[in-house]
Amino acid sequence: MFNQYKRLRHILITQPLLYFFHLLHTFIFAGICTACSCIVLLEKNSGILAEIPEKIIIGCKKGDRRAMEELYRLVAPRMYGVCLHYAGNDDDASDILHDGFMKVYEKIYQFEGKGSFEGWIRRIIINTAIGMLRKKVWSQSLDDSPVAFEKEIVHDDILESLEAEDLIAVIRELSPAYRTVFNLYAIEGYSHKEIGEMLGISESSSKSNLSRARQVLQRKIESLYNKAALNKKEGNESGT
Amino acid sequence: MNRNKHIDDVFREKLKDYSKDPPAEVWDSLSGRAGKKRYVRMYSNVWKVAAGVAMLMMVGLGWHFISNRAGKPEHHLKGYAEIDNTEKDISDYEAVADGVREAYNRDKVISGEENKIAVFPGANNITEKSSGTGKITEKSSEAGETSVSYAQYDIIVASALPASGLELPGHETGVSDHLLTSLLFNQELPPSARRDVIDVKDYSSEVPGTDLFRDMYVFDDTPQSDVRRWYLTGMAAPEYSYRTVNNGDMANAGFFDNSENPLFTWSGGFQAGFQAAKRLQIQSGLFFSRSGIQIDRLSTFGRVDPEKYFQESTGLTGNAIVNVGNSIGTIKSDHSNVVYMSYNSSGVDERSVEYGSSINSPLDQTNTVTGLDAGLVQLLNFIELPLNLRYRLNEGKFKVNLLGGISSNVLVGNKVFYLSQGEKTGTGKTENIRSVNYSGSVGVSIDYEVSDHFMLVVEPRYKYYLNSINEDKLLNARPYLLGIFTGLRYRF
Repeated sequence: MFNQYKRLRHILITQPLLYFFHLLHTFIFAGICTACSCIVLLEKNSGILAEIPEKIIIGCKKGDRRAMEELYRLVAPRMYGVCLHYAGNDDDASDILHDGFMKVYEKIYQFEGKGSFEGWIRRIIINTAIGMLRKKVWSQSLDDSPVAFEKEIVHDDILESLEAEDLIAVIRELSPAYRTVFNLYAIEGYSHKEIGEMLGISESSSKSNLSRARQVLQRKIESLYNKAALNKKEGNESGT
Repeated sequence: MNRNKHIDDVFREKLKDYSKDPPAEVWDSLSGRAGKKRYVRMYSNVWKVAAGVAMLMMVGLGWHFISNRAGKPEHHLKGYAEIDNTEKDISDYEAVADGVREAYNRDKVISGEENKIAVFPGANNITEKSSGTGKITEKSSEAGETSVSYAQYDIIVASALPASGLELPGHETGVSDHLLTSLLFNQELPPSARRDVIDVKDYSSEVPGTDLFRDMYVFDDTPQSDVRRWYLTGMAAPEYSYRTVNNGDMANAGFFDNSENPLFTWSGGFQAGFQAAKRLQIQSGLFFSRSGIQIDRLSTFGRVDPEKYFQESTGLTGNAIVNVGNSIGTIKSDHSNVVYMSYNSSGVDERSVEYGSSINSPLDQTNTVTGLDAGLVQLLNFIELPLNLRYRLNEGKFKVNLLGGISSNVLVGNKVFYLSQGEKTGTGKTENIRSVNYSGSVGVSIDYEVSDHFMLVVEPRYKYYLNSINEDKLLNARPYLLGIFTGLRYRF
């Protein structure tokens, strides 16, 4: 009789409870996974949660090695991404990242907490990139002659097939002068006046360089797309 | 849906937040794990070179201790810059020190990768910045500190205005004038110091921090800075090779001058040098040195032309016995039917006895002496280990040096060629040569400095063997060589 009771209890109470907790456990686990992915994705895409903790900044100012390493770990991938499209090749990009971070560590006590810390770091990296590019033959590639107006629109279907790596490869085909002006105007959002001050060139020089850069990029993207479409077509034909 | 995008937007959207993991080497280098300096390695597999270099180092160290007087400061200030404004924040002197280094680097007036810069902004702190480490250390001058050794720095940047609050011992008023005077007086500037003012105005728009400068002085100290430096030179030369011959136990040594002629050969190798004193350098090295002789007088006592034996040896009988009027060694033929009779061959070779008896036979008219329209070339290869001293006569881009020294020469190979109708055939070797010989050389070296590290070198030299290279005492033969060496010298 007692055993029957136990069995009944097992069926009516224990089992469902266990089932319920199991379900709850699964939901919580799934929830945590989703939350984590969201955080990672958000961090990667918009950098919202890449806010650098205050204590890292303070630690760096004191020269605490762990803080410096933590800062690098947090910020270097994005900064390397910047270097990659300013530099002409991967080695130069590494050099810019290295020299830029040296400057960051040296100047960190100058940062007064006003404005975004990462923005400040980004500015230093870009200045380092400009400094390196200036070592190359700078004045020869600047061209002040008037530029004919051309369309600078990229078709939607081309856009879909372009990856960041493709764009970096294309942008590296520009001369250092065009590349730098384009980066500063189109990606960083500086005005021609500001670009002129940063690079030591005139506003009109900056404008003409930008136009040329856009034209070259436009042509290169189109040919890249045509080549890709051709390959795809050939691939389809040979596949069947 | 035909949404077209502006190209700027295309790039911005994909690249603005593009991120990629950087290579590990970047962090390694930042964290100081990777080594910064690249070292040039001297490959030396030969133990002789190691012995030579070890000897060189011992002698060099000896010179170092002799030439270094006790108490003389070894480090001298290289440069000095004046800054205008003392009102700046200490953090701005970061830029000042950076600017100083860059300005000096641009003019390439101060060499060396690690330059220690000290900035005296006019406050109580001394800001030290070492280039290459990226660190700033702040030191306060202790009260009661009686002297500061400025010579520990490479470059000093000091305020040009009278300092307020800066109390360097012994200097109450304007820092810069007193500082400079003090440096001169305390011998913290090199003895040959002269002021070269670099115009810093050119840099002000490009190099941050240089707009703060007023003057920059460079203290030129090239001669002193050469001391204790190492040099490596690669050189080669065409050489005129001949010999002097004296009577040993032989009667007519003059005979050989008629039958022999000089030869053009070549030498080449490496020299390692150590600047032991201001004008004196000690050198060793490893050279391949080739000397040679051409023998033009050949005559044969057999009926057979030796050349026939070089081409084909069937159907020929009898030996080709060639009398060679050579003064160096005994020429030994490769070919069993060809015999060379050198100055010392009589009684040595069994076949010479055979010839000797037949030539004297009046009945045998077939054995006659015929001159051969041919010659022999004797080449001797030596590995030379020199030990030279080099004394510099002047300063400037073209430096003239006198050099002299002795070498040991080790015989490593030799060859004899038969020359006939423009054709050269290997025919044997020279024997009875001493394996180790000593020579002396004198010369003049003209170095042209093309950069901080590289020099073009032209070095005419006369090398004379101090001992006879013949093993026997019958004849005294000492080769000599005249050559003009050219090469490239690297200064470490």
